[in-house]
Amino acid sequence: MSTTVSTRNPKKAKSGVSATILRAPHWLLSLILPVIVLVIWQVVTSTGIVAPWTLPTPTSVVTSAVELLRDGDLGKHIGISTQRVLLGFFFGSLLGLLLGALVGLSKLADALLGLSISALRAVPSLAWVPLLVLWMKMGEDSKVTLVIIGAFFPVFTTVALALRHVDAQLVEAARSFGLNGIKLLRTVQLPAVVPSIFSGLRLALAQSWLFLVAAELLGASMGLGFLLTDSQNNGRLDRLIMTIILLAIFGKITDALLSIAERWAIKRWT
Amino acid sequence: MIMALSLALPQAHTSTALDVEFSNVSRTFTTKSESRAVLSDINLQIPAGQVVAILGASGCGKSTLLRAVSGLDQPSTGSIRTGKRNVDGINELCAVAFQEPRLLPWRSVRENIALGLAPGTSKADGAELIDELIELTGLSHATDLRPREISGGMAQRVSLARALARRPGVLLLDEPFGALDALTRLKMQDLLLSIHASFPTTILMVTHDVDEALTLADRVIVLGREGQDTAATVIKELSMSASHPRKHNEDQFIAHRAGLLRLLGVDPTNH
Repeated sequence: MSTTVSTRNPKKAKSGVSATILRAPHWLLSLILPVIVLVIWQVVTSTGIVAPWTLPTPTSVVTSAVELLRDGDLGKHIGISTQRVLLGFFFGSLLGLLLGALVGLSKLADALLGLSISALRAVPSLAWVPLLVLWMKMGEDSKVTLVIIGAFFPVFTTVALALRHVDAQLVEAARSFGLNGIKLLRTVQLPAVVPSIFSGLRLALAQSWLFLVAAELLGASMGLGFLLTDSQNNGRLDRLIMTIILLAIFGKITDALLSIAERWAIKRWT
Repeated sequence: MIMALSLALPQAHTSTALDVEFSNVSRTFTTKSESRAVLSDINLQIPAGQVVAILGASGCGKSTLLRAVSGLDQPSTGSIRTGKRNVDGINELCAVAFQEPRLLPWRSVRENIALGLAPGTSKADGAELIDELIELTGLSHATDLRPREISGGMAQRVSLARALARRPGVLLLDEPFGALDALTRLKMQDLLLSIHASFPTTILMVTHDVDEALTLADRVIVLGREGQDTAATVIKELSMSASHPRKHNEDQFIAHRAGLLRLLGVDPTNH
């Protein structure tokens, strides 16, 4: 008995330390790791431990960003990529919402479409690219379509699943008051799945960025994915790393915006 | 508190009560592998305005009987009539309160009650009725709260108010107080009596609780099975004429109680 007590005590002391650390503001804690990485990066590159052709210095990455920004190229790349993501995300999630609702609500639609859609889902994103390029050439359509495919599945799956699992007792209670069809959908089923819709949208947005880069890597003359291949071909490691960092930042910002909306939705609809 | 509120509202509404008739109702559940007869030969005449308690052991088809009246379930044979209409599909002349409150979590108490309003109710009439129900059920302080912010007893009062908002011809209560603690249950029983005074309607309630049945009902119906594998049917009917509130130490009450407990397989000398 006494041994268990003595082993529990240091644990308590430990949790005391982590509790103290947790009292600091959240954003400060989140910045610790990036700052450490940045410092190590600066040290190993400026002291020559790692050769500059393997890893450029942080400063040169920033310089390359400023340079590209001054040329107006960076703005163009970011603009076109954001446009593709937003367009694809919008139409992909809309389609996912509609088909997800259909399959989630109708057993017939599920029986007819369920297998085909889940089989399509199993196709890796890159496998679509050659086909889309052949069909739609190198223009905007092929890229936006790939993003649409990427955004569609997460929304479709979460919405269909959530609708199938709406509390049967709530639905029955509403039915007992004579609600059915569209009115039942509007009053009970849709509100009940609003939080799930938002978590589906967040997944879809992450997928949209993923599929965007896939599309731009393989056939584009503009955009962040193109910047990656272009920098690779020219040996511009500084630009390559800058683009990766930009993708991380944009992905995080758009996800954060949606997560605010999600939190509001959960508060409002549960 | 609740009783006082109801006394503050002495005026009774015009009765919407409907009579209910069960004719040869039976219900058999069929799956691929087997079919199980749950109810058979139910024949009952329930006059408008009567409060009927349906007692019976678990799984004897009490809820199935109520669901058949509401149209959530269809009898395998026979028919049920409420008022002039035979039940076919969802019966909008009824309102159900379930054992669980089943409130929409994203709606306020007031909006949840409004769900019960009969289609075609004008906005002003609806608002007036809801105000009255909120006062009757003692929810005035909670109208804007969400279901997760209120207690189980309050949620069950909202569920009752929602059912009454329909101005039902028949109010169906499926063990409405079964999940509540003993004290809250007693308060809810008082509330039900005052509701019946303010909104006179026919009440069919399923319960496990013999005391509850004897306290509230004008008539007690016991469902049970004769053999192991037979379907349940009405095995006993009691009429209670004593006025409310009823004393639990009166001879008739005690005799009925002992009889019902014995019928349900409980030795009354221990309880």
